[in-house]
Amino acid sequence: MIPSKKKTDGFGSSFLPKDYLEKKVERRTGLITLSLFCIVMFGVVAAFFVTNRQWSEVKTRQQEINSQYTLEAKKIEQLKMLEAQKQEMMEKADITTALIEKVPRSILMAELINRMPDELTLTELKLVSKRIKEAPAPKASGKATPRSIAGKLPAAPAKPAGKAGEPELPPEKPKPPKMEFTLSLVGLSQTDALVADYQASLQQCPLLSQVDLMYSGEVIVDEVSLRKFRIEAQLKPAADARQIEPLHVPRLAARPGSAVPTDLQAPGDKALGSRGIGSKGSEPARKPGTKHQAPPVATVPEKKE
Amino acid sequence: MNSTIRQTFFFAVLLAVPIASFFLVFKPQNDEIARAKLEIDHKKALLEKLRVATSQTEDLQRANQAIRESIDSIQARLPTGKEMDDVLRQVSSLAGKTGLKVPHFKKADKSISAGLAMEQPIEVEITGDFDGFYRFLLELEQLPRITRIPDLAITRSEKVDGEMDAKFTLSIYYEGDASNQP
Repeated sequence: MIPSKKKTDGFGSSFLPKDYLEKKVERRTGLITLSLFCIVMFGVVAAFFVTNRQWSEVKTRQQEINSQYTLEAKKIEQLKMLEAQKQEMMEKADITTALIEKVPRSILMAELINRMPDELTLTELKLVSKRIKEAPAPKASGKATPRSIAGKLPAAPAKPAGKAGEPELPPEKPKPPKMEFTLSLVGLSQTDALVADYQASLQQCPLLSQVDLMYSGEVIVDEVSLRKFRIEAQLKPAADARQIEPLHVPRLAARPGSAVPTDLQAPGDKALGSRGIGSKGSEPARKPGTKHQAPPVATVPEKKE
Repeated sequence: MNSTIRQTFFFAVLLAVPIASFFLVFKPQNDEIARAKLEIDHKKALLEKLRVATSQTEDLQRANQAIRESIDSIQARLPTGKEMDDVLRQVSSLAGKTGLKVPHFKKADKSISAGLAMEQPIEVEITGDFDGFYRFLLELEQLPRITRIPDLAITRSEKVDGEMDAKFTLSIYYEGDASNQP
């Protein structure tokens, strides 16, 4: 009967004292729980160290990148400054180069004369310039503020403290002078066909635009019937003689006594020829019996660099 | 305390420690790390772009230098004053050299602002033959000073056969205070 009672105590059939056994179990449980606690804490602490190490690595990398980024940002600032400087210089260059004539008048003359048929002469040439004035930028004033439908004016914008209460505008930048040129040619020709040829040839000229024949009518000059014509044209605003290939027209040998000094010749230019306005050798019609003098060799100047 | 309860409590604490440390320590820190890594990647990509952009700095500096030199070369051709005496001397000399006459040489009353410089128009009348005038133009264009001919009228001379009269506006440029001009 007694052993069966001992079995129910949970300590088996040990003959050891119950207190001893209980303490032993408690000690074993305490050791197990302590070990478990240590393992868990070790895991937590280890994980903390690993994470912390990762974090410090990332921080270091971030600092490196940030310092590089700051350096590059400085370079970008420098680049922006250079770009602003370039923009400013380009504006200044535009203004400065606008002073230089893009279509030297000698080239224009050469184009006009070299495109002229042989039996045609010019009696008048006019080049008129018109200065283009750009409208000034609208000033920010109270007058420009929109009126509301209800008739109530919107609140006036706060004016910056300028002199005499006017808003301070940035100083106006100097602008390059802009001009447009109108060319008018009056001449004499034997036939209308030559006039038409001349007009067609001028239309091919890369320096001119809107080449129009204004009129062509009959006139009597020294008992000879001639066609008087007038052609008008515009100089292209973007015309640049450096970008065109001037027309080269081989002409006859030089007229006796009209040799051009070599020091006055343009590069590649022997002489323009005597077919310009008032030139003797360019008369379209001569009286019977008058001696015709051969015009000199003429080529237009070489393309200017 | 009953040992079972004690043990249960202990296991609960044991479980709570890692769980709490995960939510209170590790998760926020991992989030921070992930965010920092993202930022690093983003900045790395930006850095690459910046490096490409900043590699153009030298080219830009060279281009600016070239533009500055071009401007200087043009501005060097601008005298500080009108120097009308020199212009008259040069025009007369060129006209004489090319067989032309200068019966009329008149300075316009007002100078005009022309960007960074001032423009002084001069009315010039020249007579002679066309060849001479053409050579005169060529010579004029070779002058070191910047000049332009905005207006030009050439007519056949009524008086002398083979001659022409040319009236033109010769604009000369000089350095001046453009802000003082109308």
